[in-house]
Amino acid sequence: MNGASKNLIEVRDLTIGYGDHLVLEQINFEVHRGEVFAILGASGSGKSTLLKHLIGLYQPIRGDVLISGASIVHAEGDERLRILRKFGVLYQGGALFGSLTTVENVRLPLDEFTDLSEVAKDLIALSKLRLVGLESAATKLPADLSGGMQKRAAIARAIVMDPCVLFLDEPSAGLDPLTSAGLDALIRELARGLGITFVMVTHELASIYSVADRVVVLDPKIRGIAAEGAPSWLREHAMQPWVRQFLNREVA
Amino acid sequence: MRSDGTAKLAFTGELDAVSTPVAWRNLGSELAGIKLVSFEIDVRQLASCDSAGLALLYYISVGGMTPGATVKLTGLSPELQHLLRSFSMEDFQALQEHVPACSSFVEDVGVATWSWLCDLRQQVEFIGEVTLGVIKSLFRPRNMRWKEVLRVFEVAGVNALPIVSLLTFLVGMVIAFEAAQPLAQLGAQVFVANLLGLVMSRELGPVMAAIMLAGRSGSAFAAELGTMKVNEELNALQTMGLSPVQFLVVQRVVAGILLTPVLTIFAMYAGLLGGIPVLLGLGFPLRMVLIQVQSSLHFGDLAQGISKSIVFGGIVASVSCLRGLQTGEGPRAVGESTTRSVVTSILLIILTDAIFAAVTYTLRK
Repeated sequence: MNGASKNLIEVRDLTIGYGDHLVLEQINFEVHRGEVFAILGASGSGKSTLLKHLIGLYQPIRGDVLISGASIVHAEGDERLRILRKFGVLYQGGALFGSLTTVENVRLPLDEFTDLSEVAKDLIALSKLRLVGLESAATKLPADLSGGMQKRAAIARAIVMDPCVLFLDEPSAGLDPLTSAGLDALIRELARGLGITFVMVTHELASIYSVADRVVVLDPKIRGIAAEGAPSWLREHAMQPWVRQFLNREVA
Repeated sequence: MRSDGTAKLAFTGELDAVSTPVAWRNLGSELAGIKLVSFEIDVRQLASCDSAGLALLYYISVGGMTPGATVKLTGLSPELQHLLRSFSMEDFQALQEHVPACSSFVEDVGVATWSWLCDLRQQVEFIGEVTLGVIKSLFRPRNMRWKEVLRVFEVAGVNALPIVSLLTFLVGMVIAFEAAQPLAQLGAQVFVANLLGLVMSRELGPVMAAIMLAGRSGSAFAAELGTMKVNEELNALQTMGLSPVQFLVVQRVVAGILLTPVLTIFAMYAGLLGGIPVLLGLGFPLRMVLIQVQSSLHFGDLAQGISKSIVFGGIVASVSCLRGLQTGEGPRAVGESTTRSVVTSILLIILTDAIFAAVTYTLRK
């Protein structure tokens, strides 16, 4: 496997911020195909802002983000739409549409972007709901689902178009430890079973050790990446003591 | 297809969201009406297959296109076999059989009546609570958040002056144009000025100002309080021992009562100013127009308009705040509250105006 095909996402000299306020300066990292990659950092370090730049919601000040070699920063029109089809996003609150049932939420991208028959769309949507264990909640409205179920339904919607990468913004936020562990198991299952690459922003250490293959740790002081590598390795061998403390959940 | 009722189908190339709809349609039309005993599907030559392709393979494999036939699927990779297991005809049947709950007409009428009665009760309770809050604030003015009153006065009143003035100016102009022709047939075109003065001071000035307040500021009150409720800010106030009505509503109602007469006076003058260019265009000198207006308008007309506007201001501010506080759960709730606030405010403005008209007519007799 050559280098170009190994990297699914490449972040090149990315500088991001709001107006004059720089959040991260000239950061570089790659996400490999099929891995679960986590972006870590303390509150205010720019994790969620970085994620929004990776999915093309915000324009960076400088630098580029390549997904399968195509720049999401510079793409426009159909080219941008082609890149957007390659990934799905799970937002913190799930972002399910309250007026649609669970299966209608999952079907929505199929309705909008394919010419498939009604039977095919229902079969696909239900198969995704079965994958996340929500087949019995297909006709329920999002308001009738628990927080964990809403996240699962949002994952089903995010994978309905068979994306090669799934971005997760704080997937465990607001969930109890058991539900959170269930969600981690689902991420592992989808990563292995469907070969989906995961990029997740989180500060749940239990989730990171459970699912992440590699992490980058953001440092607000240097406005950059403090450490990068496998979480269990960084816990013992990270150069910066605060990174080791952070990953060991120790108080400085 | 063979004469013994058996058939074989081999897929090649890619079976994805683009090619599958075409394949589905073609296969459906090819297999329609054909009675098969056995059907074999070979996917060994398939280069790639996504969820759409798998849906087609699953649908064929469960006999969706060949009812009664024994279907055999060969050459599917273990990964795709694993994914194929997530498809379920049982789930599909359950979804098709699911009928959304549908209530009867009688039940709908009953629910609507009950909710209207509950709403009426809430409105009465709310009016009482707000009145009590305003009276408390009058006796203890130091407890009133006057900064908030001033802020609302500025945002909902001062900032609304240009749009209220512009609209009533144009309405005045339209009324003058529309009245000029029929009055000309009677040789009474000069009385357009009298008509304009009376209509703007008694009716359109206060009504237009109140409707603008409902649309522009009332909706903002409902959305602001609704968002605060969704964000649990109202719960936070209550757990701190603060009454949302005393802390948020009273200021808006006081500001509404104070600012609507000001808006109304501007609306009255702007309406008159709108009619003047029309009258000048008809050949009447400005002095004559002003004398006509002056002779037809009495203090009672102005007082009627101003007193109406005070009531309208109180109604719009209270109703909008009530609708904001009644905001339910979910993303649509704030939008619904805003709509309800505008609709209820305008309905009550017109209803109160009709009551005012009936009362003043009786008093003048």
